[in-house]
Amino acid sequence: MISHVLIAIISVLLVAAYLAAVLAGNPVYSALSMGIAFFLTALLFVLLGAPFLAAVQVIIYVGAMLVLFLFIVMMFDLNKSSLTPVRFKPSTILSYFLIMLVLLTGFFVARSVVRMPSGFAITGFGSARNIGFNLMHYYLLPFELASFVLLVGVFGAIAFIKNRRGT
Amino acid sequence: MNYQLLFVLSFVLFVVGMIGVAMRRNVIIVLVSLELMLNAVNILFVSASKYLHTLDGQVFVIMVITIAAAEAAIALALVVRLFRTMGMVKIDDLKRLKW
Repeated sequence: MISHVLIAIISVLLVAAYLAAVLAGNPVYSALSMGIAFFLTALLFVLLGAPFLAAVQVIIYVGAMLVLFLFIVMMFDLNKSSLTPVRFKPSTILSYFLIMLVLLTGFFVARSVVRMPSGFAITGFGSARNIGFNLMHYYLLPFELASFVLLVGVFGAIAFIKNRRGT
Repeated sequence: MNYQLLFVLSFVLFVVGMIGVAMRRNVIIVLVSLELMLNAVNILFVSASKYLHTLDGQVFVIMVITIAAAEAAIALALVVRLFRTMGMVKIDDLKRLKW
């Protein structure tokens, strides 16, 4: 029952993060809100019985794609007028501290209330073993095609970036 | 487990991402919205996988993540190219492609 409440809370936070990402004025804030949305999605995946996908979500989306987006944004000349200098007011620091406190209490409450069976991520419903078995037995051709798509993507990205006059 | 709420959630998130793709003029934010749309589809897949007690949805999420990664790499390479040749990242300035 408590996981239903957690799912509802995460849903509301997800909509808020999506709106923040879509309506942000600064691309940096948009990308960071996208990272928050991906983290919340990983939490939702854990609650929905997909621990392996939650790990994949954090590693690929937050670890690789968010960094890629931030890299590209930082490469460009941002509109200087849209950037405000960083101000460290005491209220700002206090609010960040409060957010950290809320997150920590949420973590401990969730850990004491939501009980995952032991070894769930290894042999359970959405575990790496079961997904790998499905992928290798029933979805072998799509799996190979996906690897081919990634290869073509690498070639395309290099071809776009490369200068015509060599290197 | 109320699955209808999860399905409605993913629809709402998809529409929010679609609004971002349609309305925003900054290329980076449009790409972010595109990724968010794919993420909303992932949520729908995972909740349907739990609803049907089959793993096919979760396998498809892996495929979607693969496509999203390739798409992000290509699109960001295009953005870098665009910025180098035209010096801007606004979609409105791309009207010169029409003739």
